[in-house]
Amino acid sequence: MSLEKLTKLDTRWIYLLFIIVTVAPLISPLGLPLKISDDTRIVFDTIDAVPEGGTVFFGSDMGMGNRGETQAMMVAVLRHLFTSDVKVISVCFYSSDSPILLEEAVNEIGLANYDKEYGVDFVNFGFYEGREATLVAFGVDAHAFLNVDYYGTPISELSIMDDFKGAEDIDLVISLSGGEIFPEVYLRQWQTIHGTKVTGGAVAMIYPMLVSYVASGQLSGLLASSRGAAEYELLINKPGSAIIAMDSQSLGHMVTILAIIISNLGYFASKRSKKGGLDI
Amino acid sequence: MTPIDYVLPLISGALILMIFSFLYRHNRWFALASVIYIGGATGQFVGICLKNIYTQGIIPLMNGQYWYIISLVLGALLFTRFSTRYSYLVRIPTAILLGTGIGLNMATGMKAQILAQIIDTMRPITSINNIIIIVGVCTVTLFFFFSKEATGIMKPINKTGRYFLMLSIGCSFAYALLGRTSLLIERWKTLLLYPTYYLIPIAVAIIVYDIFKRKEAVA
Repeated sequence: MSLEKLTKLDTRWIYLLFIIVTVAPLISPLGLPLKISDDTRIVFDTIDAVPEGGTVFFGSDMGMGNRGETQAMMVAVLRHLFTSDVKVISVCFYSSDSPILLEEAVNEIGLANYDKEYGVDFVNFGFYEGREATLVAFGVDAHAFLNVDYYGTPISELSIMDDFKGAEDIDLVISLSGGEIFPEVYLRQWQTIHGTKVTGGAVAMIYPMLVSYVASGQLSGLLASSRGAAEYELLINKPGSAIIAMDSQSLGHMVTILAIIISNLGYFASKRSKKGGLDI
Repeated sequence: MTPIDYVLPLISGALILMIFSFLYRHNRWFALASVIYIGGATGQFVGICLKNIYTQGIIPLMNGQYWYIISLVLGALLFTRFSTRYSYLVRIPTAILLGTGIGLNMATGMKAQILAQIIDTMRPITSINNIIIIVGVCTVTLFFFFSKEATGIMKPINKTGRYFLMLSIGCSFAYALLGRTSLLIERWKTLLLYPTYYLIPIAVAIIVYDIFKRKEAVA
């Protein structure tokens, strides 16, 4: 077969191959090994180091469009938080979809399974519009602008908020970011002003843009997409949906690398034949 | 399981397959699913916005926090852009939004995003990683130095900077692939659940039928 023909291959064959290699491991898992990266371990250690009775701000800013990348990450991190004696306050400043996803994750985990009570150990304030300005206002005095939680309960009836004023009372910010570079905002407005520790996770598209903050120590580790979620599931010893997907992920990447190699072989073969070279 | 527990996954699965059918070829089912998605997403967004106006604007106002009227009026002024007579009023909320946005960003952004990063680049040349970071930052910065032509000493610097940029782009592309594959796998997981998986053979049969029909038409 002429390698030149590869350049004319119907792309639908590649789609079909990709579908087969990504679906097959979901039906029959291969159990490929998974190494835990340093960044994920730092996130785990940072969350583990929150003092007993401390307060964690859970900034879930993910959308429905990236649910596949971030939901497992959110579930794994929340599981870890609920096993510790910490209070978890969540406000979504950037994504209006996120409170729905957060509610779904909490329902999946079940607060009662961890002896946690809504309004005492955890609260979901839903989406508050205003972006960076709202985030700054929350950092200074949360009670000044938060009125009700996601379910319409007044803030005065939520005992978790009794001793909480703003960013000064937060021991750790966990920023899970779905589309934009949200951890940057927490670094800008809370870490710079209040000295708040920030960690989190991000979808793969924006992960490379945030790595420099991990290297500089501004971000205490960072979870990378579903891969980060799978590693976190391993660390908390609660295998979930992310680990199941890792075999498919690895094989999908292999097919992509193979497609890149084959298409390049085809390209160089066509270039050679145009110059009168040999047909391989 | 209630009937709704059967129907909702089937609707979800059917829409996923209708969108995926684009991989085979553009078709009406794909167009229909796209329109449903756009309509649904827009409806959801409008609903959430209305809920926010109620919980974050109207409720505080009713509770005696009368200064919230300022936010509501400024928000309403944004809609004057649809009027030819009063469209100039949109400048007021826009100016406030821009002013506060830039003001909030400038001082803290300079420290968190520029100074902290520059400080982190000044590393001792004690490891390969540090050397790579220093060479990468210097050569890529000089790649965007346009006051000197890329000749002489600038030529290899420029070339090295370009290679670093290529590596960075390749890394971003690889992460994009990781993300997109994750999204695809999530859809597969939805399709492989009961009773959604019954739709897969139906979709395959429709595609096979279409292939034969199109072959016949060509013949």
